[in-house]
Amino acid sequence: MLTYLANPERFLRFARIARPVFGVLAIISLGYGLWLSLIGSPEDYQQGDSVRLMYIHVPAAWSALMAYTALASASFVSFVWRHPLADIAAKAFAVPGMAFTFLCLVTGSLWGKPIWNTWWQWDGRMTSVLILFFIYLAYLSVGSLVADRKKAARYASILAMVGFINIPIIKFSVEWWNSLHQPATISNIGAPGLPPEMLWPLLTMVLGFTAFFAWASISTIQRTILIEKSARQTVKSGAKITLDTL
Amino acid sequence: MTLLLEFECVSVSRGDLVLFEDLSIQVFSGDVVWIQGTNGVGKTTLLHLAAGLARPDSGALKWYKDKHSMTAFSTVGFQGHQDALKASITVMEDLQYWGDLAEYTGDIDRICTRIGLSERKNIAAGKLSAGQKRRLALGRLLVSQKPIWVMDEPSAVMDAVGTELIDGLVKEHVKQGGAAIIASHSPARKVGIATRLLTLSAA
Amino acid sequence: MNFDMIKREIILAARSGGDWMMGIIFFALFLAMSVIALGNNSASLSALAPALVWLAFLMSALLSFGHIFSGDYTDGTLAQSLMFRGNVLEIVISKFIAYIITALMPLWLAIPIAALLFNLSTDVIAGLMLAVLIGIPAIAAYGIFASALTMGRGSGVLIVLICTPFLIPVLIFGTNAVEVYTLQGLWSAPYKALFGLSLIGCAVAIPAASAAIKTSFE
Repeated sequence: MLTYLANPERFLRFARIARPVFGVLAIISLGYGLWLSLIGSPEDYQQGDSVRLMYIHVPAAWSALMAYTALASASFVSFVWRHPLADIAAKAFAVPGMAFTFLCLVTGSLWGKPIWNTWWQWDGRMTSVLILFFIYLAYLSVGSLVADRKKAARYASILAMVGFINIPIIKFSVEWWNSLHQPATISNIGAPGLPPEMLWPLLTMVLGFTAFFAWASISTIQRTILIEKSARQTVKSGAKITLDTL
Repeated sequence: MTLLLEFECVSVSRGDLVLFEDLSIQVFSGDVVWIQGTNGVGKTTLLHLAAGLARPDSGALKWYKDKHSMTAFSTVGFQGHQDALKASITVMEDLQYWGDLAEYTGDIDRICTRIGLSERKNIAAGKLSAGQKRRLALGRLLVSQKPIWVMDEPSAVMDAVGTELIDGLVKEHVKQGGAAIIASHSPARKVGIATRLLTLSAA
Repeated sequence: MNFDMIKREIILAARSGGDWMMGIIFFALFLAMSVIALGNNSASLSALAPALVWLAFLMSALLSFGHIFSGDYTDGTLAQSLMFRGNVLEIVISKFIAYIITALMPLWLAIPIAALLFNLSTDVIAGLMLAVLIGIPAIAAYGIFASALTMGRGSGVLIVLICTPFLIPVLIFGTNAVEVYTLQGLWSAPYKALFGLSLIGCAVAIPAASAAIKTSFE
């Protein structure tokens, strides 16, 4: 399917259908998910209503990681096969991915405030996501370092792959660090035995975030292809070359 | 007359400006190709392509040695705008270093004399004048022993004696079966067995 | 790896006047400022010292990353090295070894002096020096990578932004290694982790740096 979509014209045709489909899916699942989170699920016996922030915080973290995986995969394709659409896709994945990390950090901060009375908690997830935020930021910065778009994309794809290999290492070391220095955390979610009333909103929100990610990425790729198409039509022709023998 | 370098339908764009389209050139041993054109028209890009330091958007560049296809690095010696010198390294040390990298077995002292720097061979590069620095860069071309020389305005910082030196070096090089591609603002001179003038003019 | 290239880097560093000392000076300044900021309480300072020394070492290294390739790129030496040898990996590995010898090893040798300032025991000093030594390849590898990726463009902070996520595991295991050294010795988990990080760092960052340099000359 990827090779089918690799042709820009075919992608545009795909996008015309896929974009509204994902958009609607996102609205429905996010809407239902939010309803479940806010109303349809029980409050935590310890944390009260503030646990509801978990339904954004945790899916945002997972989605940020999923987006980076997509970014790294597109970067790999771009690096090995030099396909320009892969460049565009990688960059398109980066912005919603970075937004997810930001959302995760903000909701994590708000979640912790009423419980621990601190605006920031250096637990495993918050620290890992903060580092992921910096990785996204570095990726976008390197992608705009040189004027030559193809070269900039290539540098960025190399960084994306190095980052991807490092993410499990960073995650492991941060979790390990956290277990050494901080006994209790707010985010012991994913612990075995999560009741279904909490699991369903969580999964619905994950679906919603993924659909939103697909919608946002497809829109960006579509827009970029169209911009480049019109740019190519305004190309100026180059030097006249003559070769004479002296 | 062996084929040393070939441009095959090479096209290069910089941003939205197409520099060359479907450029095809063949360079043989004994050739000197002068490249002339106004600033910014793409001379340096063309040289970088010939040296393998840049990639064309489409088309291919091929380098040959004894009819075998080679990489640019094994056949091209490049002299660019920057002289690639380190201020604290002396003339002899620099030539010795690059000579070792190129596995040059000849006499470095003779190279020093050939480029006219024998009296300055123990002077650090930072203390040389612009023309002397360029001579040192030319000395590097000599120790590299590469058949194709790609030169970016070699006489730009040189006086008349220096320009004569360049012409002499190119003539010798070409007589031994090498080729030279030279971008220059000064008028083209007949120094090769076959000398051609490639003019780039903005559309 | 090319011995002529490594030798040249060492000669250049030796002839650079006081430049090679800049790292050590920054290292000392950082530690001095930390002490002033944290106050004079010798007991708590000794407890914090290993972490501060690690931070000072990393910050000093981060500052020097920018110069690794940018000078050679702008003065044309990198292009010439490519034209002469045609082997990017050889250039990168030579730079890697030369950078460790000329920049990181002098800094490493300054650690015992820092330890004096904090009244650390010989055990802690040994643990600290071993931990940093095992982590040095990882630090150098990612520094080389970040330098090759940016080639002097962008602000100096960009290199810090690129490297910091990759160096955090080194910092985590490095500081922990010093804590457990007296009890568990060199074959404990954090030291093994540091060794693994250095291996992975070299295996990933050095080829990545070669790819970045090749991209600069496309």
